[in-house]
Amino acid sequence: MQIPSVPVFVANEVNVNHLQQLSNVVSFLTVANNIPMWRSYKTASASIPAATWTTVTFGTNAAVDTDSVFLANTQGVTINTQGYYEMEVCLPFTEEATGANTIQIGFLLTVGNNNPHYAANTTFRFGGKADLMVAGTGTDYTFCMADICPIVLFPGDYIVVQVWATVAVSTSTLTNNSATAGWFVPTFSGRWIRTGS
Amino acid sequence: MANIIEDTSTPAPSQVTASAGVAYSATFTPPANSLVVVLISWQQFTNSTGQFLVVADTAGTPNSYSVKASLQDSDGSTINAIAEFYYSTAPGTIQIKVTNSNTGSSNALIAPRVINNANSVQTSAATASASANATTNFTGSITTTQSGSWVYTVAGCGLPATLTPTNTGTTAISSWNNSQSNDSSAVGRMTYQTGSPAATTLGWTSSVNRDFGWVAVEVLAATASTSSANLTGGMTVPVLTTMNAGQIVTANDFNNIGNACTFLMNKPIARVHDTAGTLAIGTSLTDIIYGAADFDTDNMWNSSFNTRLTVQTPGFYKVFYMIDAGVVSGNTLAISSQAFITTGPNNPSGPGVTNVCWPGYGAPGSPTGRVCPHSSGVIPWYMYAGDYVKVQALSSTTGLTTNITGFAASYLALEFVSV
Repeated sequence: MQIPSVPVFVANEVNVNHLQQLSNVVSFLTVANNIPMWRSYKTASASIPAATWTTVTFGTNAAVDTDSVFLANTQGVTINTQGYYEMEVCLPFTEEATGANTIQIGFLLTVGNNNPHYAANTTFRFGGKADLMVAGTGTDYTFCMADICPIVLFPGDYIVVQVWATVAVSTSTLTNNSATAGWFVPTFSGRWIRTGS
Repeated sequence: MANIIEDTSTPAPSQVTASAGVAYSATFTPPANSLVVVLISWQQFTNSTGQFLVVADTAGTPNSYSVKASLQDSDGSTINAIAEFYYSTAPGTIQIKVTNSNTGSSNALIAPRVINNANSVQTSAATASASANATTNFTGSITTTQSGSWVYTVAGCGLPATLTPTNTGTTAISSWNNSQSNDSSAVGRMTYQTGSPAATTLGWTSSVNRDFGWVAVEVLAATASTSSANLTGGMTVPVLTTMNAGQIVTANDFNNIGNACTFLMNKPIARVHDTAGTLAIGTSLTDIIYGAADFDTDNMWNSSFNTRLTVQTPGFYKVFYMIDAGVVSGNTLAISSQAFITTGPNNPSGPGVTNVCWPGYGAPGSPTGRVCPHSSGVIPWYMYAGDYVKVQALSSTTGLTTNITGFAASYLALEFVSV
């Protein structure tokens, strides 16, 4: 997506292109389809093995994807427009049989070929939430977290959601009666928030 | 000039029994660039005049406090003193150690006050002391030197008594009507920042006639050069004018719209993270410390104020935070957290008004697990330039520290969302 530039008007302005540029900027900032933004959800359960950082695949059900960030990879988002991004994830987990399981969730950024500040394939973990999930409570647990990516993202930079658990677990999808059916699914969303260089 | 406020790390006053002439305050963790003022009223079981107090902290290399004012009541029952020390760097968790030249049996009322936005140099601040025999009017006069300064005061006498502030100018921080030492003590401060420099009378009314000793010390606010460290002036919030029918539209009218767009595409954001991973999280609320900024487009971060992001451009903001307390054992502990908001000098509510929002919670699994409370959301109050955001945490048990390895380090981020 092209980030529009703001024109400067001068006295006795006669260039209609400047007015069109201004319109483009306002459109970029105010029209949802014109700013990079995504929201994807899962309708199939994902298995998380014990003690292994595991990527949760999100790209198959992109409810919102204004900048085609899921096209290049079905697991996470591949940035197409340079800038700062905010993102959030919510992951419900199916109640386990026994024990008190520790679950960690986080974002993992892998730098692509166009980022001038870091070598390709450099990784950053950001965001984060860790808590326990106790068996036998009769309810599933949901872990949510949000963060602003700590570096400016460039086209080709790649972000996934990862989970780590002491004991193997599965993400929950529509199977629990404790929340309204259809809402209780893993969700990953994000949006461009600012220019950056 | 910055507005003086007491930091949330200020501990509760302590009523303690001295051992061989030594008494300690409660533990506390003052931040960098804070002035700690210690209010002390030492109660001697056996009257003795000519005594003096030595005050220091318990840091690895103890810092000696400057005793700014000290006076015994005339019969030698109590020693009333105010001492202070300015911390340019955070000393960690400390206590105040008070030593009396008389090692006889004693009690002591010790009240450290941790003050933000105080001047690092207090040599020109006013001090005062007063005493009288057989009176119920435990007051004295101090002539302040700076508009915006604060005054702390201490009084004591040699009989159990109820001490009541004489007027609305004195806020009682703590008092001790002590039958064990057969003495009474009170510590307090002026309720409001002093106005124009002037002579001010303050103190307590006693329920009994007795000799008393009274001291007071002025605390000077930081000058503009110091306060600019966390209030630098932010972006200009654009104002869009209304255009009416028949109006001749100028280039400025269009450029105003363009400026608003430029502002939105370059709005204030900041993110800081923990670089040390050694901060103890105890059973009382602890301010999380951050060591570096990932980005800071509006000078919200200053390493001299390492627990906070200070809003420079007014508006509504969204906060994001996570606290990494590492992998710990046992599933009986838990950490609670919150975003802690403090108003600055530009807020119509006045400086130092605090509020909390966006709680978080975390607990480890069994037998071990990582603990990372997290929360995020739009701060439910309009933020003025100078208002700041901290993250606080407390644990159900002691022994936890922040962590920076094996996961994402603790972070705090702010995003401007609306004018």
